[in-house]
Amino acid sequence: MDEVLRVEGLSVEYFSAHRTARAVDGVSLGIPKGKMVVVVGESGCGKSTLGLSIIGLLPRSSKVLGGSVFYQGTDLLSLKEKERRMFRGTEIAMIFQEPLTSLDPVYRVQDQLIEAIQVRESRKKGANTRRMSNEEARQEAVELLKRTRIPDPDHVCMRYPFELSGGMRQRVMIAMVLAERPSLLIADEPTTALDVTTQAQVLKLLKSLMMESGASVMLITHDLAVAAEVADEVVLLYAGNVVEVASVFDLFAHPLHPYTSALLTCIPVGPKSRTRLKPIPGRLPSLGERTVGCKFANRCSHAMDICSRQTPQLMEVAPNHKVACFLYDK
Amino acid sequence: MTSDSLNLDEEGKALLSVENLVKHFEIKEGLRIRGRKARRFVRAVDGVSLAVEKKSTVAVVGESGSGKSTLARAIMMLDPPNSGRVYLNGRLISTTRGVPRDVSDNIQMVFQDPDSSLDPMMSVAGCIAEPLHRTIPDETVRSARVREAMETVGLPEDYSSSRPNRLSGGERQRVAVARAIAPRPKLVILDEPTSALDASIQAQILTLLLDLQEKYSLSYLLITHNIAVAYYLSDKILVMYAGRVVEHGPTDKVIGRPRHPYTITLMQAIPKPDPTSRTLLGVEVEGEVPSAIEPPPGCRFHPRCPYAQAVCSREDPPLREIAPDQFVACHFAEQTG
Repeated sequence: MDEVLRVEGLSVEYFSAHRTARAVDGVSLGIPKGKMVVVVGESGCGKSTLGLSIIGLLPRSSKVLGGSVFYQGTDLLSLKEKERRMFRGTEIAMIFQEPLTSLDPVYRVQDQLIEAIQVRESRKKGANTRRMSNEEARQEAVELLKRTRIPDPDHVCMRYPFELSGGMRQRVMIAMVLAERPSLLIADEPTTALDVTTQAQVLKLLKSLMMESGASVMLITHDLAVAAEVADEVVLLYAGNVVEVASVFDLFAHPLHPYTSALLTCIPVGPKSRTRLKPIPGRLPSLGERTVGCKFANRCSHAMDICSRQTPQLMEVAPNHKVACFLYDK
Repeated sequence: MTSDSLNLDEEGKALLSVENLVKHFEIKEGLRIRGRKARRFVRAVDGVSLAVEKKSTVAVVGESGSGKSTLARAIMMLDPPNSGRVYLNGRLISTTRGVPRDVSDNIQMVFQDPDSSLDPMMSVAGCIAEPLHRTIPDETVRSARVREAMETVGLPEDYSSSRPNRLSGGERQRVAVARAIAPRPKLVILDEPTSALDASIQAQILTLLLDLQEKYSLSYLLITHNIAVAYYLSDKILVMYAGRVVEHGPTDKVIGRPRHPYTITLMQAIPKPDPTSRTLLGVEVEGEVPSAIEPPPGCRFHPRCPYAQAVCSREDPPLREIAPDQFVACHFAEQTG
């Protein structure tokens, strides 16, 4: 299948004076064109670090240890910052959990949208022929806000980000992404801070608008249920490793990795009288601990001898269904 | 024990009953020129009644701004209500002087964020012992009680002298639960007890809460935005919207057959871990929870409601019994769903 993005063996480490923590540990995954891939994991699984390393916004306290990120054939990690910047926004865009940290507090919404539109125009080939006027850009900005179903877009254009509600801010972020027309959007927990009805509206928008324009979306979330509602494909992370990759239907119908099945029995779906949750014993590993073998082994009910000695590799055990577990090692 | 002073075996009465509770916050607007502006209020909780039976769990669900946390704080007298009454076992506790001392041990609270509800300068054992000092002056008895509470919630004994910030989020929430159960309360108010936790840790805490309820015959008042958690733990459920209760009844009925248009929307909007029965992308409702400063007239949901008629913007619908035990505040509750 045609992939817009392919990550191969990516490892990222955070370091301080005294210790290091490997947040992403040999992650490989692909994002098919026009699909929504949902990356799911609990805290500390490296899902946000993965997003940041794809778009190239890792903090200074981190280091890419190895691996590559191919965007339409180009290895982004081999590029210089100057070249890489040309991909940011117009090729790969990213939105975050808290839009207030991405929106500039001292500019009106319209100024920020106009900037995005003009960056896109300036990167077009032969851009020097004609510069888009501010008025044209403003009209497009209103148009974009309309597409995100913001009520009264003319009014919202003149507002500052702090005057808007969380749901509205996230819509403004989505309008900016639309303005830049990227082919890949990375959305890192875009609805975690929102109420459920607003979450539904924003997810609906993301899905419909991105799919309309043929773009791919990598949605990062801690919530398996969100994945079930919107994903085409699911990538499940645990402590920096990919443990399972499958189409959303296969993953929920036939979870293969013991972590996946255990996580599914942790989600309450009915009343206490009819369901009993089976919590996963123990706690999430801290990233500083360097361990040999499968990182889930100490919490796994199927753990075998080999699990603590060797690290399982991601293997395709059914069509388009990959899992990293020795149970399936034939 | 203080519980002797309460007639805890009185039959036929709810353990906690709340009558017509109102909590408005005044907006302080700095310099006010006399007579120019009316005083303005945030109508956080606007006339809420509920009852929690012995050994049962009542869940209050709603989105942010619905007033659910204010309700919990007003019941605990942390933010004393403007009007309305709160009774614990038939005894009025919403007095102007706060919850009477001899009652306060019977009602405890667990907050969402253990980082801010546990004193970072105290040891784990110190945090749990804190509410026991008055009732158990003897130190050996007290520390035995602390050890027992720690064991019950599954905290290893050698954590006693650690500071809470050395523990993981799930372990810290266990400390908060241990502190709440140590005084042997009858009622525990759980304010978003698992919202800050990962799924695998949330399941541990939910199971723990069920075990404790069984062991100590506890009643819970659960405040949450997570309907899956409410469904799992509760016997009765109240759905709040903009300071009002829009629907309440037995959990199975309200979730199985919601009648208020807002409850119906909420049920659709909740992500469910089953890709073969997707509902979230079908949510039609637009807009957001209204401001509690000037809530819409009539039914507060009417500007977003697909069933709204002219009457909805004029008349505030009262709660009516639509099915046995199921109360709905909607003019058209018979026609929804």
